Amino acid sequence: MDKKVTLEDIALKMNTSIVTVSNALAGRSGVSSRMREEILKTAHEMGYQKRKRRDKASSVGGTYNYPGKRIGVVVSHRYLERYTSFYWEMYQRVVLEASREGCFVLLEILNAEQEEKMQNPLLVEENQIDALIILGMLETRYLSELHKKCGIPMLFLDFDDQEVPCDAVVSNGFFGMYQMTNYLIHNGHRRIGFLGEYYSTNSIMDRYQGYCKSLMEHGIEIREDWVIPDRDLLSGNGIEAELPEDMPTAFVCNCDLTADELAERLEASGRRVPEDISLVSYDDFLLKGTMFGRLTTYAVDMDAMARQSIKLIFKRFGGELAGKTVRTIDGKPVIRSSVKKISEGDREDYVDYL
Amino acid sequence: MARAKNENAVTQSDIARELNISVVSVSNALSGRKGVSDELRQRIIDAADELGYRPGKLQEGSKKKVLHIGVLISKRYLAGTSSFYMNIYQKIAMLANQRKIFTFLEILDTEEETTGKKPDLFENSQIDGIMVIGELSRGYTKMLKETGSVPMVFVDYYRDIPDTDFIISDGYTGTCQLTRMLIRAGYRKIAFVGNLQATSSILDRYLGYRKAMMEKRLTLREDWVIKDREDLCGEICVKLPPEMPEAFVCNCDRTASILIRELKKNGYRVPDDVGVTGFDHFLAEDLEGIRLATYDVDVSAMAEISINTLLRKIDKMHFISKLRVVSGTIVEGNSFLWKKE
Repeated sequence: MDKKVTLEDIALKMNTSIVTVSNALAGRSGVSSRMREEILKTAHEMGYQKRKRRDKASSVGGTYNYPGKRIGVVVSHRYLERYTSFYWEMYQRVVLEASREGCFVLLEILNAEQEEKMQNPLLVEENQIDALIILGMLETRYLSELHKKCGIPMLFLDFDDQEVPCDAVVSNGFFGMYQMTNYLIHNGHRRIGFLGEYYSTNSIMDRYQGYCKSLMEHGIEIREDWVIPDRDLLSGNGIEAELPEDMPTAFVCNCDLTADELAERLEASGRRVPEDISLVSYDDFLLKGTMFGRLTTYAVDMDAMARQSIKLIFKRFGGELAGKTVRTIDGKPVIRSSVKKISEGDREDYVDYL
Repeated sequence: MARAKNENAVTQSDIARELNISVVSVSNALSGRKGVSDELRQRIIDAADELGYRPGKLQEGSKKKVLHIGVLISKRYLAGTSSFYMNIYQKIAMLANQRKIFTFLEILDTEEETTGKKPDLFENSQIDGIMVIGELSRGYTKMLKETGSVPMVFVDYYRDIPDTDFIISDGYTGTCQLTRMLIRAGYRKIAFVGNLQATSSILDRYLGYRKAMMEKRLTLREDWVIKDREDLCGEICVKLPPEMPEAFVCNCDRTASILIRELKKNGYRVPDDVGVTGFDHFLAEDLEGIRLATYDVDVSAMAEISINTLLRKIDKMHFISKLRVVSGTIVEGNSFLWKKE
């Protein structure tokens, strides 16, 4: 291209103002999302390149380092069945962060056949994308084959598979659940169960170990009959947890959905949350259900996770990363009304370790 | 991040240009004033971080006042000749020096810690901020945080106290990776060496080991969680269990080195008979030809993050207090064998 494409060129072509074009490309408000999309598309087609900034700033993965790049998001159909809202929401945040950077996001839902027969996502087969985000865990076998073949930066979002040398962005399940379990103990609970199948995913395993850390620190024995699976190991489908005869006073649930299902069953059999049993969980993404607005849970910072994902991909584009890089994003406990204070809890003395 | 020290200082307008927003927004965001959405504020802070922005009075060569930082370390971590914490302290003191910041070191007596007596640093009016290195009890930590009048950060440990800045290495993930490596290499009977009650970071490392064992459904035996000292202040000593495992995951390099000595004394060869891993990559030299498989904690990164966090707190820059986890890297060494690929 001889002549550089300017904002004015784009504005002329789109029959709109330069300010609108500038706002759209910079990710500022004041432009409808449809308009923004069209402007981004036109800018890309016309080969618009943002002016190079001063060198001083070039180390930042800030705005417009890689305009027009296409980022594929692949999510398994399994997750869109059970966790519809959570993954759609995460996907939206990725789109938002990407569009701020002038990048496009393409979505592909992986069906059961593709997974079983180890077929690559079409986005990869058809060379449609410059980078790939896998949203939600897939089998190691599938991931490592895909990683060998795809030849573009690949990133795991909301899970990690350490056997595949890909970057990953995860939430802090270990410390998160540690904090949530501590909260129960500070409210006087000592008979605490865990609801989750830790063999099914790495993240549930981390949350379980966080629960164990809290119990161990407080000298509370981990009772195996109080660690209860909530899903089928093979299919990943939810199952009705088998509740013990001798019930704990509180449950640490591996995710909001599981907590809600448990609460529904408990309340159907006449037991109330939190009067009869206290619950804490993880995610802070319950849109409906009996626990809606009541669950004390660990809020995952989805914005920060989406932002880090795009940042890491840009760093990969720029060759700034050496080995596998895993970013753990902290969330925060959100205290609502699913925990009953049953006594003053543990004494906070100066010698809890001495 | 890595920019030469005397290069032109990064200004707020650089950040504004970077993010395509106004300088006023940047200024508002960084000084904690209203008028910026939380989300934008976070992006501005992130960008400021990455560009290496340092506010007015902290800029290089600025004529404003010299800063003083107090460093607090418990005496029980300084037993023995060379300590991991002394190493962190040295890194921090050196970094501080480069930035014309003075550090005061205070060694906290175990007695002060148990009685909850305030550190002398609190009496020192010159101090602009305090850095606590090495684990103190939750109660004492809470007391420090609540009664201290200057900004504070806590390095190399973590307590469940809200809105507090802790900077730690990733013991949980690191030990999990080391144990996974042993399992991949063909080891099945693996023990853990460390007192679970001693510190929260040792417990994290144990849980990382536990995770790796559990996910492969390997047996966790109580007699294979082996103490490495009799009491909190005692010297490290390891007794071999009656029934020997194939490998030992140790909570730190020092413990690993003492275990290796003990193994030798009892006629076991490392790595031929028994595999050993450590944690923290503190041992600089080989142990009679053995290079320990370990997790290299990035002490420089920890020092840098600690000091930057404290400086930003001192300068009252708005940011979110939280746990900061610094990852390290696996060092393979030759203290175990790849029995199968």
